[in-house]
Amino acid sequence: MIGTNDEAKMPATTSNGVRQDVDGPSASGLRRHQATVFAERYGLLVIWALVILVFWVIKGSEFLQSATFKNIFASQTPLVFLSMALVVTFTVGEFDLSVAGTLGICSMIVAVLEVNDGWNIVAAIGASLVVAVLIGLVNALVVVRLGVDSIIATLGMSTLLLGLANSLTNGSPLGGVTTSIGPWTNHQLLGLPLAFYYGLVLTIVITYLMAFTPLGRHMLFVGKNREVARLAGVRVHRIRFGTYIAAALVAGVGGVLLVGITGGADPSVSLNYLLPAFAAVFLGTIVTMPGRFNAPGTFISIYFLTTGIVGLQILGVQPWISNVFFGGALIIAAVMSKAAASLKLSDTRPRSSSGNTSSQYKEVAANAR
Amino acid sequence: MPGEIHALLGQNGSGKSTFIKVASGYHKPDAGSSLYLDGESVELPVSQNFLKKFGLTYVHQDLGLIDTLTVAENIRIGLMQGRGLFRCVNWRHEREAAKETLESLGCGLDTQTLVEDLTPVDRAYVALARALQGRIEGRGILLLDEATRSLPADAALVVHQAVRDVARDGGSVLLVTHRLDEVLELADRVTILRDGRTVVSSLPIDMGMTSRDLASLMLGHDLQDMEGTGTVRMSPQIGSSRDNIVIKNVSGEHLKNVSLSVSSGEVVGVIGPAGSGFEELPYLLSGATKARSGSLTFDGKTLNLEDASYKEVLRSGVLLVPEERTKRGVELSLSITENISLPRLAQKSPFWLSNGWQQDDAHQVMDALKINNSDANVPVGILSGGNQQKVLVGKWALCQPRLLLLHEPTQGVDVGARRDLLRFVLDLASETKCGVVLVASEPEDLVIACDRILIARNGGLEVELRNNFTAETIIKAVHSGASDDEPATQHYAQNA
Repeated sequence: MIGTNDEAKMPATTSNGVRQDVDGPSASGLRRHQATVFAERYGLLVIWALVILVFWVIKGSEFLQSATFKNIFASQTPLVFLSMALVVTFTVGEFDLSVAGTLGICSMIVAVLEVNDGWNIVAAIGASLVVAVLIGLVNALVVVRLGVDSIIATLGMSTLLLGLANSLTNGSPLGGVTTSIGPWTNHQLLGLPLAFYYGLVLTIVITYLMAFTPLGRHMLFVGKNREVARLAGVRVHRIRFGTYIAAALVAGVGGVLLVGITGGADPSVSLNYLLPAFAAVFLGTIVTMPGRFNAPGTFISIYFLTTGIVGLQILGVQPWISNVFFGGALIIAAVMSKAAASLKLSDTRPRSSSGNTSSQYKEVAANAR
Repeated sequence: MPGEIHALLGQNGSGKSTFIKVASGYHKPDAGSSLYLDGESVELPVSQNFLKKFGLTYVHQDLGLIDTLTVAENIRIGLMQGRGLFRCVNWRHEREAAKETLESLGCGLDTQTLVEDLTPVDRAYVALARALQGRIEGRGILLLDEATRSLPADAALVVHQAVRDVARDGGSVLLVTHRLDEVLELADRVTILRDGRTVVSSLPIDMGMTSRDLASLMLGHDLQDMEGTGTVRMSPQIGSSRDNIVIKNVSGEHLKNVSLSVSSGEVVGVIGPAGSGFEELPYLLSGATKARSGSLTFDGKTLNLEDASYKEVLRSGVLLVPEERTKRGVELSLSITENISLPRLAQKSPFWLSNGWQQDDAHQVMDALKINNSDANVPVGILSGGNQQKVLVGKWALCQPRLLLLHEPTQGVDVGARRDLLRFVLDLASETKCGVVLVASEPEDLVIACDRILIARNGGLEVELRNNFTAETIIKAVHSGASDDEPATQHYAQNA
């Protein structure tokens, strides 16, 4: 589904590129341009395939076992939810460091209400989602209404939530949540757990919202330049406000799914989730829609990173590898997206004046002869 | 020359600011240039040390004060000395030094006040005091780069007095300004730049010279050409008074109870001397800045500007093209299509953003405005300044404007793009019958595009030029107010 979305957009842009390159007679220049576009958008998919190939060659059948793939696909849904929450907040130009904290406390609330206080599981889930919305509301009030810097405000909120989550059980993990919600996340469909499909659906919904609705375009402008957006009649405050609430809600749902997947909750889980989500979101900016925070790219990045980690662990590397991997990926992704952005500008600059372009192509053509 | 006040004049873009920036070491000059001071050749690029040694100080356009620091800190910045064992700043010493300079200007300001709390007059004192600190008695140069631009008349007088004092003590003053009356009053000699070249070099100013003489020197031959273009709009097709857009009692920071009416299809120019606040008008009318009072009436509806939101005003068809395109006009990192379609997104289905109409819109705007780039999907940032400005103006054209408010629509664009832009605005006005208010500080723009011109003065639109205006008459009316030799072209606009 994601693939079709991109393909639907892809030919439109490349054919445009073709149309305007036609004044230059060189086919080789054209091909090279298409190759750059492809490499820019889908390079990570190729690297992903290479990574799988390498592990397969080294470890052979062990890596290709379905259990390994299930491991890769099954466990990452909470991370997908968290990353999508970050995609929307980054797009509108806000920082929300508290999404991981929200995920953590929501999973704890479900577990504590159900296990310790004997609540019905549906009521417990409902309560945790209400808390998620409230957290988003507080963030929005502090950042949008009061104008506090978003990094500071949400860093504070994040730490506050981590502390509160720990206070619920004095820091110890809590298991034994009713098995009745297990099937909702862990039931197998086409060989993969249902939870995986929730992440996929969310990715598609966010992709639709961001790339194919006026709201998504408004969000993009709010993130890039608030004043331009405001003067075009966009309700900047409302969009920023709504984004904080939506992000918190998505993170809260991620927390509920985490309870379903693991059957319990760990109050310090948020610590393990924030950085991977950042890494995936930034890595996502160099896939499919280069230079923009985008849902499909983020989705691909998550599974790319997970493949690498799982593969290395099969090779016998200790669990510390995941920190090295995610941390390194975050830095590399940030550097690459910066480089891609400046490359994009210099790449397109000569095309702005047609005279230049055709003479360039003539030169290329002459060289080819 | 020591003891001389020399004025540097020229239109926007003629190279005055570049000259100042080279002389103050901000820009590196091109090869082959030389600069002489006190008969000595100066090594280029100019270094800050050199400026200190020769006592070259300047007062910048916007005075260059740091609002959140105190008066003393602003005056002593760059001159503070560390003293004693720990190289601490001796604040008492700094304050006294600042106070002394201020008193020499005849100003008893408390040096502990924050600059942001000062009146415009006091700010002028502070900026001058800082410039005078670095001066060496009897020599050196004081550079004033449009320092009186945003100052009210009484504060400008302070600057004038200081300038005379410096010259009397044997220092030289270079005065860059737009105010022709200021030049006539203060300067001994004048140099005029046009398109980066010196047109008039060190012409002595004598008693008989008028601002009219200076204006025609500044404009040069362009004067005739512009008159020719102006006649294009001699008989505008202005709609009946029923279709008028009536603007009543609009007040803001500077403007007080401004009223005017704009007919359908009419282009009204607004200009005024710097500091008159005429730039405020489009923002007040569009609701981008809250007006203290005022209303807009058209098509049988009345919008109260005190409480209407920007979006409400926008929805009714009052559209704003702001100044500073890179900050508030267009987003450079997004594509031409995305920028052009932004204002129209809200009119489309909220559930599906199709590509077709966006591309159509973009190409329509690009054709109409001659944006010569065949790909609408490139970031606006790679376009030239003129094309960026075209995207900004063009994005509103498809939104069915009822009243289009333009602020400096030709800012920082070349001659060709300027013509395209103004032609586009004219066509838009006559085709869609919308009213246009064009606020610009370039008289030529107004001559080309406007049916009549209102000149802001003392917080109101006091002078109206209706027929046969030229860049020269506009400049003259702006700089000298109601002039007495052409009463036929002037009306009071209050009852328009």
